Amino acid sequence: MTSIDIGAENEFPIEEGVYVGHDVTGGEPIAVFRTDEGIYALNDRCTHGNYSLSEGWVEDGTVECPKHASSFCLANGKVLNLPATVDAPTHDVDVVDGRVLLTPKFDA
Amino acid sequence: MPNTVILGGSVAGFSVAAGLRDAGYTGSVTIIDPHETALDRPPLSTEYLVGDDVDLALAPDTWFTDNAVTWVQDTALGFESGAVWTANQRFAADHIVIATGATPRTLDLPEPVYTFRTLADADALRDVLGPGVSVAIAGGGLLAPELATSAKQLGAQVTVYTPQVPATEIFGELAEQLYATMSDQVEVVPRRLTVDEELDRFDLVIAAVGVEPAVQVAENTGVTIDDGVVVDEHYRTNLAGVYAIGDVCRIHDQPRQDHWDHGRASAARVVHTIMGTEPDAPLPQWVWSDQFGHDAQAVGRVIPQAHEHLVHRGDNAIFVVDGDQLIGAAALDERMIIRAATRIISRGIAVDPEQLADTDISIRQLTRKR
Repeated sequence: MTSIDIGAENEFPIEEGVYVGHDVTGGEPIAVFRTDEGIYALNDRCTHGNYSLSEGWVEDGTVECPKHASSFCLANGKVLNLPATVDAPTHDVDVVDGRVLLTPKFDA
Repeated sequence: MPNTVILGGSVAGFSVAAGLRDAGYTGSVTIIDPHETALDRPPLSTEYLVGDDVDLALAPDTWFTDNAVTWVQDTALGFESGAVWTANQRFAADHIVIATGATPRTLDLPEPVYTFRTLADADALRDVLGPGVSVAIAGGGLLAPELATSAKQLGAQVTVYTPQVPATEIFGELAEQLYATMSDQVEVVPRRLTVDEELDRFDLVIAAVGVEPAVQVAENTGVTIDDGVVVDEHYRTNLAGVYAIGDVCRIHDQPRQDHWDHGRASAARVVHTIMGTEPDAPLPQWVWSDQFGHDAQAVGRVIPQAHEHLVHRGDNAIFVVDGDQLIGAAALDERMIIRAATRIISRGIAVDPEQLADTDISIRQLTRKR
């Protein structure tokens, strides 16, 4: 899978999610989160229900779904509390020369 | 090695098993429950009832193997100190956690009366609700409007009988808005449903008129029962090694709480009791309800007492404030307000009512300690 340039680093506010639609990712929509520690990408749809993690609450390396408050680890997608029970799929994302490069990892 | 046997595997019982393993409990953990696996119930009245593809399992099957939690599809019939039994099995148990939940009350009417609690209840209603079906739904809580929403979506002709504006104790003033929305969408009759109504016009009646704690397994065991299995703030019953959590229990000096979040919170608390560890400060109680297109959520207490103030933020959010401390919040379709309020309350962050009311100030900003 080749990487996709999804914008300049400064277009990704700290501790907020940015929604990247399927027209860009070529598959599921992806949520990209930038924090002081790094930049992370998870499937945008909460594994519990139809809600967008890019609108979630980012704090301490986690994102909390605004709908029913399940949290996921930004680094590895692990679900941290109910009601969600399934980990969020992660994708590769990097900052290179001030540009954010996303490499989706969709199952073939 | 100590054994823990959990009676009931919905959110409360399941959360005890998961919590014990997270805490490093090395004894055996067994859940006895009549269902095939651990199921979450909130989606039943909404997504599941209208036929959406929704995964009700609280964990994939592999979770039970990976975490050495034994699921026994059976019904516990009784227990004594050190043991639990079903019709034909007996389990040694150093710790017994009663998490049997509650059973719905019903109405005594000549028409067929459905109640709603389990997966089987939802399947039964899915079979009968549809276009052209006329249904009366009785109840003044969260369930009646949720079921009315789904029944209408399925094409049924819906009439709700409620003696009060539902859920005012949960959503405060915002309950009026929910009531107005419901009244726009379906016929609402502002009284209790009784045999005196003209029931002939309905094909079926759904009773959503509250629940009774499912205490049968604890009867004649010596455990104190009084509107639920009576427990202390550690969720211990009066018998050593026997605990009760979730909808089936009642803390001795409080009313019974039958909400999903209490199931989860009481489970987390009893894990500390069993492990002998110090619990975190409790989070304020959180309740949500999806009805007639609104996502209603509340955290803490939203009915102000005499010395407290009610603060409005726009038309869709309210706060109760005591001095500079937030006591509770309720919001319609404003999820981040609830997420923020939970943090403000649990961290004891000081708030300024004027800032809370100001929709130009991001609610997130107010969660940062000043």
